[in-house]
Amino acid sequence: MTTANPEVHSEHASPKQRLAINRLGLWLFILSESMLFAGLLMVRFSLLGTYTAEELSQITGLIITVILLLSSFTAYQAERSMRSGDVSRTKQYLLLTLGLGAIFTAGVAFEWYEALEAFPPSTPFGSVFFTMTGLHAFHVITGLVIIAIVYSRVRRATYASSDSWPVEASVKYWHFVDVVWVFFYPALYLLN
Amino acid sequence: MTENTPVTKDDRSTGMGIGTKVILILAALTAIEYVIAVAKPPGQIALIFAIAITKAVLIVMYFMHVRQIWEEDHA
Repeated sequence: MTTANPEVHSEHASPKQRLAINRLGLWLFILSESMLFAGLLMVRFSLLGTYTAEELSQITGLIITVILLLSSFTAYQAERSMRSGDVSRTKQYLLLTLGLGAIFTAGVAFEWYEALEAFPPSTPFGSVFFTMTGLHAFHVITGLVIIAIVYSRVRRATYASSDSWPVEASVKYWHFVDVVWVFFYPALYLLN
Repeated sequence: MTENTPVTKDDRSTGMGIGTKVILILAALTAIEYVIAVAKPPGQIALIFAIAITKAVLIVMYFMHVRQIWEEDHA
């Protein structure tokens, strides 16, 4: 674990030390965000037990889950490509991640369209469903914006090929969004 | 190779192997989750969440490289 060291916190910290600080900061941010999503999961079970609305489309849930998992894989490949200095592949994988993320968001929007009729937000399951998927979708969209910014900068060669931190950070955030869905998917779709 | 070391072309082929294995395991676990939800065996909820935790651990370990936090001081 990185320890408190005045030298590390100075503006003259070495690139390796700065990277260590950046990574630790991002993990602390992810940990704090996890508390929010864990709280939502608790609310889901305390309000509804294991009840799940029968009208929820299992197939749509499964498809968007697989798409989000695939986007994690392409994001992982983008990070590795950047670290190897292969900017061309990095751009390809970032674009693929953006595309898959957009499809996931469209899938959630389709679910919302169906859900508004079947279990509106005024119903107990509806309120839980829209809150959980809404907050998660907000994080997905945030992740897409961050990856789009990073992609744009990689395309304009703003980052040196040796500086892979911006790509790494955006990809880590994207994986976190995926981890959240790993728990939300069974909690919303698979219990009965 | 530490997590900070730039990835070479040869390393990347290994990484592609690890990444591919992880995504295939994740896909298989998702399919198993779905089958459990449909089949509704005893202990369904425990099984489904055990699988979810396994999937999360795989992503955190292999895609998010959580071990980097502890490796910095020794890199």
